[in-house]
Amino acid sequence: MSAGDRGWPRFHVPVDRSGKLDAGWLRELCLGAGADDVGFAALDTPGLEGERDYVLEALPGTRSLIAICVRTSRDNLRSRSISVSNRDFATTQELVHETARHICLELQRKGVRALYPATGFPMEIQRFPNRSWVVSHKLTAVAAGLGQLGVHHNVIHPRFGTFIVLGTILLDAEITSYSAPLTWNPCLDCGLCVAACPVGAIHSDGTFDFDACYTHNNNHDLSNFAGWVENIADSADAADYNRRVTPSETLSMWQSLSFSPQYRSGYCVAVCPAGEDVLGPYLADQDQHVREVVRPLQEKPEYVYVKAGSAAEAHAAEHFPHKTIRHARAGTQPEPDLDAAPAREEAR
Amino acid sequence: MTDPTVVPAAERRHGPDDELSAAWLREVCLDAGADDAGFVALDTPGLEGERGHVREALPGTQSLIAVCVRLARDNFRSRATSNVNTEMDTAIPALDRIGHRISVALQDRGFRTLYPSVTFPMEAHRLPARSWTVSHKLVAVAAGLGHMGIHRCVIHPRFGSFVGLGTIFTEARITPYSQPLDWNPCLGCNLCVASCPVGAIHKDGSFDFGSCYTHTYGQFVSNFADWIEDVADSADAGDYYQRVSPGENVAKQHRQYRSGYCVSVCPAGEDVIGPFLADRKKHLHEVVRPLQEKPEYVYVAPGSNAEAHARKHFPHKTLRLVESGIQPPDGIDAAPDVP
Repeated sequence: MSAGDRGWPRFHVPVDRSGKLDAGWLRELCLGAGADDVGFAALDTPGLEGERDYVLEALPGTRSLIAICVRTSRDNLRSRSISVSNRDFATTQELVHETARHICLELQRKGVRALYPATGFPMEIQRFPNRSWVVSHKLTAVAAGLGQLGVHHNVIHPRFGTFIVLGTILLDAEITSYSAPLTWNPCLDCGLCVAACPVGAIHSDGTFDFDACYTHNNNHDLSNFAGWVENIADSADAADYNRRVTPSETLSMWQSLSFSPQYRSGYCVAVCPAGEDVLGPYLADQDQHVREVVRPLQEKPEYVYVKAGSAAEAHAAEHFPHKTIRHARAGTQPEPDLDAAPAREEAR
Repeated sequence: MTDPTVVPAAERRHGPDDELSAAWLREVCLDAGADDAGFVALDTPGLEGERGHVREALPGTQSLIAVCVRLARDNFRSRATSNVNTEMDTAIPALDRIGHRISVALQDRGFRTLYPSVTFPMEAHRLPARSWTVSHKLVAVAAGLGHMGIHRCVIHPRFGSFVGLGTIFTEARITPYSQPLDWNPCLGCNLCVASCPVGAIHKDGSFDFGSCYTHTYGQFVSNFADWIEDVADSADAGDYYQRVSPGENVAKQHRQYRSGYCVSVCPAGEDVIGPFLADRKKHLHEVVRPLQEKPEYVYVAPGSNAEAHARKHFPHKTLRLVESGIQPPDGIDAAPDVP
């Protein structure tokens, strides 16, 4: 009996794997799936050399990358109430995942292998503290023309500014035409991000103190977890634990573990006036922008996490004397040994 | 090179006197996925306690948008708590996304707008004191979505207690604002009083917050600090298991609401009440009794009314005495800062 006689659907739908994907069709697919903007980059584009091994490990045969972005709710990210900011960051990340998933399902229906790595977590945590992300969404977005990195080392979209979440899709097909990087940088060099960063991680000369950013911003998730467990293990009893970790810090850790990673500061994003949709009110009244957006963040009393003796500590003490400095315990982080580096193509 | 972003942005400003039409905004809310929506001015009487927290989060807030989504009712009625929690964990992100969509729609109109979490994250540094940005319940009542029942949950006239609430803040004024409901859908049936394992809900309308919080959130927020203290106090693994039973150990790292029984049993609301009115015994037999008869841990403070209540009314449930080790917040940024 043939499949047709049985009334079964055809199991094998022949697909044409020879051709390139039409860029116009693919762009419509991405926008229809919920992306606010999209760009395409070939994996062999200059600037993506460092991504190659990691990408090919995740999806052997990858030829193209799709960069997408979804807008955030701008005033959530600007809010002095950090939970309001973290809420929309996490919600927009979920929307990016859903958009990317929808794109992958359509591509796989057409016989194209495609996958999407997480916008944030989970990561390849066995490689922590070394590179544990599958692909740099920022580098991909820049190569695919979605924007350029600002002084604060975030991607600034020419229209949406820095109020976007980025996602990347890896696929094994070629695309008929790839995007070109933006020929200008929407960053205004206004220096507001430099002024707002509580740990002085952003420098006007364009250099960036990653460790200062990571120690403070990620204190209630990844950067402090090992140190927190060590504090529990070292504690003689509950009273001793409470001398090392304050009640608020314990509950902040609970919140990050139970919901989504809670970032301590996205102030560089919050204050950024760049982007066509964002710039108007700032140009119309810069004082108001400083008063309503920048100052509340600068003046907020809060814990600032730094390594003892670091430039970050000196910066916070000098510029933000009303914030409370806490010395972060990073914990022991040995070099990873198991599956520490990407599986190379030639080794497979 | 001339910055190409300058000109169009200047055209995108709204005027200071621009108002949003309530009819247009309602469509935006329903398109975003809300099942109902209402609008209220921040200076409405009854919301005084919210103003500082709201304006701290969004300076210039003029109006609040209350939205609700319906819940999968029988998930919420299920004796299997995991079904309740699955629906909570599904409905809450859906509500957060509705807030996101409405905020982006109004930001496109040139109005500063944001949405706080439906539940978490909260302003953790203020826990266990007020750490929420806005009371979704008070806003929902002021915006006409329903009234508080005797169980202190908002009852929607149509969807009953089976709603999740969210709030959006905006600097826009809205015309016209909604009015509070002029009647209370709560039936006064007291099924919530009878089903609460810790006797937190009283017929006279008073409410024992501490008993509710200790039990319902026994696997949420406060227990975490207690758990970490238990770990720190333990000399070794054997000592630890004297303090935390192996069964609880598994549950500790897994957040779950322990009891939404007051919502589960509530028959109020046009969409809900039919089967209850048709056959009350069936409602008791199929919805109320399974919750009352379920053997389970009940978390109470030693010597509390909750302990006495649970011992007397629910002898087949197992009491766990919780030393509320919860400590006051650190005092950093303890109260709202309003520019």
